[in-house]
Amino acid sequence: MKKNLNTLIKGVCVFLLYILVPYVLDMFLPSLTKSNSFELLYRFMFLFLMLIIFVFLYRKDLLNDLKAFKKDKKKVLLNALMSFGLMLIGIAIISLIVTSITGNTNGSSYESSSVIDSLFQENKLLMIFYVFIISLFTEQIVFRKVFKDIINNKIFFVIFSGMIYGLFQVGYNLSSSSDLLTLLPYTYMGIIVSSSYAKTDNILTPCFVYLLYDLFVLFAFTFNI
Amino acid sequence: MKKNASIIIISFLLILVALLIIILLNNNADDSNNPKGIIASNETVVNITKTETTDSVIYEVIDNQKGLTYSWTFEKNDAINKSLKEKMEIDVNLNLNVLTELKDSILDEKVTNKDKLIVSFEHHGKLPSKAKIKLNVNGKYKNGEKLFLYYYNEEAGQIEFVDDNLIVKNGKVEFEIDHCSNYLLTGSIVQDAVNNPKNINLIIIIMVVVIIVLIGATLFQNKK
Repeated sequence: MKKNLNTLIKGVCVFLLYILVPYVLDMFLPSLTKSNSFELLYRFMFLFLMLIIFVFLYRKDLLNDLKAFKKDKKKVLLNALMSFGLMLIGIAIISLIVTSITGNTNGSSYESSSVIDSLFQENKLLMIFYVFIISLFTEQIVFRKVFKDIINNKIFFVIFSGMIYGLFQVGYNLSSSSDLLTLLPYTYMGIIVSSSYAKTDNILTPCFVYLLYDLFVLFAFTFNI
Repeated sequence: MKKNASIIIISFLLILVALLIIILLNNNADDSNNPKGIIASNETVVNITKTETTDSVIYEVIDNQKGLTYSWTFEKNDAINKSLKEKMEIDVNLNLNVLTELKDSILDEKVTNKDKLIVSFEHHGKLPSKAKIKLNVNGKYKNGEKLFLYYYNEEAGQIEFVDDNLIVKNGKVEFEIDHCSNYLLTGSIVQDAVNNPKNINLIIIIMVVVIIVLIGATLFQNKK
């Protein structure tokens, strides 16, 4: 009972922090500095600090997962590779369907968000650090670790965390019902990644899936695929 | 060993097929981004009517050739008063074009909203004072429709959010600018733009739902 309650409180705190920190930064940073570079730097520092707090809170579990990974690397890596393949083919098919419905020919470039684009222009090093370290680990802890620790039912965890992940990716920018279609690829991505975590019970599996995906996006962006 | 090899082969096959589909989709996107048409041409026959009040000066423009009607309302300040006193006019080219696509720009690649209108000002640069532009959008947008205004920053190669509270009244939309360049009007949000307004209401609802579900899951497990 007490253990469950502690897990719940910890999970809710992490989730709230994940939502509130960017809002607080949006509110106060522009008044703190007029320089875009400094604003970006401060933002990164606070988001990195948030990740350190999350890692500290789940340090025991993360260390156990790291030990398990060292023992059986194949299991985690093969699962991550398979999930990445399924994720990519699913996104491509969904893009094809969305394109045929809406006629929106930019359907395949969901992940090329404005945040990443603008960061690219400001500072490439910070962008790489943000995408491959901060965003990657923070999202896995918030949307996978927190939910899985609290929800014991695997199927419910996979669907629920996938849907919430999808809603968070597009929720900020939803302005019309047609934007709801952009939910599909993100929710699908969330479900695939969560199921990879549920299968291996190791947080490093979804981390590897996203690492492969981010590398793919970087590759596609660099070679203009 | 065999199982592992087959997993790796299947994964790579999936990645390959996905790549092919993505390349196919992007090729279609390139084809469809070719400029198709411009609502108005650059040649103009323009009638301008000036009205002056104590705190503003209004120019109503009727561009017969382009079929455009719009007005500029400048707030009076020292720069405007000086320009009016010396030249009798404001030192700004009041002509504008309303386009559906902008040639050789990333705007068409980034903005796939079908209802977009590009407001391209012939004057480029900062205005002597803030100006309200009232543009006839009859036939393009319905009365009461909410529009989003974006600024196309050519130097940075990005689309920047300006305003999301423009309501079409009597077939006209009004917005305020302090410098002239290319602007974009659309009925829905541009996903690739920077500084988009955040839909806080939906996030709060999701946040509450998540917390309720997590509490519910904990209580359910404790009962078990």
